[in-house]
Amino acid sequence: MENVATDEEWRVCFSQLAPGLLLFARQWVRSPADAEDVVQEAFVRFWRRNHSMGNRALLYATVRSIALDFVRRDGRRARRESNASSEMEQSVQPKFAIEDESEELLAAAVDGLLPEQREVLVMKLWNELTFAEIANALCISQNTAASRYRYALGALKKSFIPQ
Amino acid sequence: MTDFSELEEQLRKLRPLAASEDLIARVEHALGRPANYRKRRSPRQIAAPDGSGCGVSWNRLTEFRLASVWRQRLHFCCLHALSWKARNKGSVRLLCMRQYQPFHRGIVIVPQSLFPQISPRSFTTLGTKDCFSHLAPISRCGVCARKNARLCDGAIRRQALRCASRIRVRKSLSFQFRANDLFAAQNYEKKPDHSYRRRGVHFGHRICANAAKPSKSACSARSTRSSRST
Repeated sequence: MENVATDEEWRVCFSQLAPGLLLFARQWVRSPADAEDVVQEAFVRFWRRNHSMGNRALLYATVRSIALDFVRRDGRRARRESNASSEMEQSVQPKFAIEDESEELLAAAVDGLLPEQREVLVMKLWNELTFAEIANALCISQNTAASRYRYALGALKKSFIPQ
Repeated sequence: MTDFSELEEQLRKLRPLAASEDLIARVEHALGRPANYRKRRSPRQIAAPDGSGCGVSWNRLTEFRLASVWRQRLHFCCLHALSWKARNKGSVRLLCMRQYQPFHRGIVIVPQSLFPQISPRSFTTLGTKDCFSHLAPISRCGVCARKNARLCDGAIRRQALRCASRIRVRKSLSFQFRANDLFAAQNYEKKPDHSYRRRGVHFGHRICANAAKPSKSACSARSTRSSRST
């Protein structure tokens, strides 16, 4: 019952999973601080319930659930703030460590994907989940997850790489 | 899938931002607490987690409110700490009631029985339907007491309903608050006495304040009127 901080195992797990979890949470929340709140709450809840770290699908499902709850709870405030400062829309902090211009364009193209395609792409590429785990986390079939992944790559190829 | 291999390579080169040290410290702090840390906090700690507000004199109403919130949390913890079988036993309620009475330093907790939640229907009348309150103390007055009483004619009066207000429901529309009008004590009469035809006394359909004593003023007025006519 008591998974206290004296156990250092959580630090290893968290340091490995945190970048992908933050990127996954950033799909729903606007700011990195909100994403950190979501990831913190999800990881603490997951760790305290003594779930196996092999069950990554449950961890991502927890992050998704908490992020959606966060969006619903603070939706009104977010709408008001977005209306008040619409010019800050372009100055959203980046989700990736961008080094050159091509990576910046690619990151912008990823942001322009449909949400259901983007979440599958993020889970597959940067969190290295299998299609079975993705399907388990998102409550969809494996074929749906695979097709969304393919559609996402096709859309990226259309937008990023000129034919 | 081979068409997307190059694109996948480029996408994998994008590295997501690493977690900040602040986030790791926050998670460590959160994991360092016991699982029910929030539920174990006292009302003072809820309002001032760092203990800075302990020396501040509190508003008593705020303390009562926080104490009730904390009591509900204790009750919630107690129920969840019990197994499913234990919840179905009769001893659970007794156990929970013991947990309802915590005592801590400097906190005055109001016993729950002083503020029971009652049905608003029990004291809503035509006159008080706009005055609505969910929390009202149960009156201990004699009007609301539950006891049998035998009237003079031998009929047993019904038990008084357990109501929250001294204002009782009355079906008559002429006077809605019968409980407070001292009807029997002062022998007030709200209807004209229809026996004036028999006695030959005309009260002019007025309300007589004391029906037991025939009004001398009315008799004297009649005598003066008759003397003037003659």
